[in-house]
Amino acid sequence: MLFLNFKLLIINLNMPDLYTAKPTEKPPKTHRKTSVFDRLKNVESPFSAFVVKPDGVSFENQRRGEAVLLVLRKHWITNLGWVTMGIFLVFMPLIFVEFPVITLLPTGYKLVVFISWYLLLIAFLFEKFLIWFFDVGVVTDQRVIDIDFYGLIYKEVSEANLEKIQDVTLQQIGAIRTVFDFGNVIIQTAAETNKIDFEDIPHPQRVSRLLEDLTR
Amino acid sequence: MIDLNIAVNDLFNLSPWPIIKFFFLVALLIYIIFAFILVRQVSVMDKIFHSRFNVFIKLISIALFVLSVVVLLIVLKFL
Repeated sequence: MLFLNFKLLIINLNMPDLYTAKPTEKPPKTHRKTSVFDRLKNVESPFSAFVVKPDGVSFENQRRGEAVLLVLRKHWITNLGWVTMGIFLVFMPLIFVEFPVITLLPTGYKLVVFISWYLLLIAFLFEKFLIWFFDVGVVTDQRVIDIDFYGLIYKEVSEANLEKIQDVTLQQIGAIRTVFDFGNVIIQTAAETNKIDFEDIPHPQRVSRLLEDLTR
Repeated sequence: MIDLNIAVNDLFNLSPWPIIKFFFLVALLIYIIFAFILVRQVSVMDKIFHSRFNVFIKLISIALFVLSVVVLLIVLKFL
């Protein structure tokens, strides 16, 4: 009996393995993020409010190897107010040219009044454009950054690492926002800045889904 | 003693244009300061968020500053 057991043991030791489980390697953490990154269609237009994987974009305190996935601005429709006003103000001197106060002015003064008017108008439109252009939300493969410009002399930059994101809320209130597909994405974080708002950004559902994918 | 009639006459004969020109110059000086702040502000904004298009925005802000100086010179020379 002892001999038989010993024989079985020898047979067992000499038998080739029929199946050997391959050691499973956990994919590196960046792999999952890269796949989300790859699914996004590249949008390069500099005036776009939804820029995907932009080239040549960088920001203050960008970490080495940190890739910008999304640059978000307010939807173009939010600029409609000042653009319409600008168009109206361009033609305003044509209305005022017949006013008695203007007609009384000598030609040189008339010219200076018109030049001054257009200088003021350019300043007004340029300032509005700057605030829209530089008021951005940035999503990278490591964090979210919200750069806010309130006027030309007040700026606010808030950021949070992706791991600190606790909750992503989507707000799309009103018919205009639904029709043109824009809204707010509010990100609750455990970072120093406990709330990051991306206001009136296009495709908020896509953004919130992307953020959920990145933080999962 | 100042003759009141002469003083009133002088006041009425005074041309308003130098005063208007003075106000134009003051307004343009304020505008030049604003345009300069705008150039600086664009540089700060570019440092915070840089994209390839920022070069054009910088050029526009500088052009606005130069234009305001040119207008000031025109007012000084021709008005």
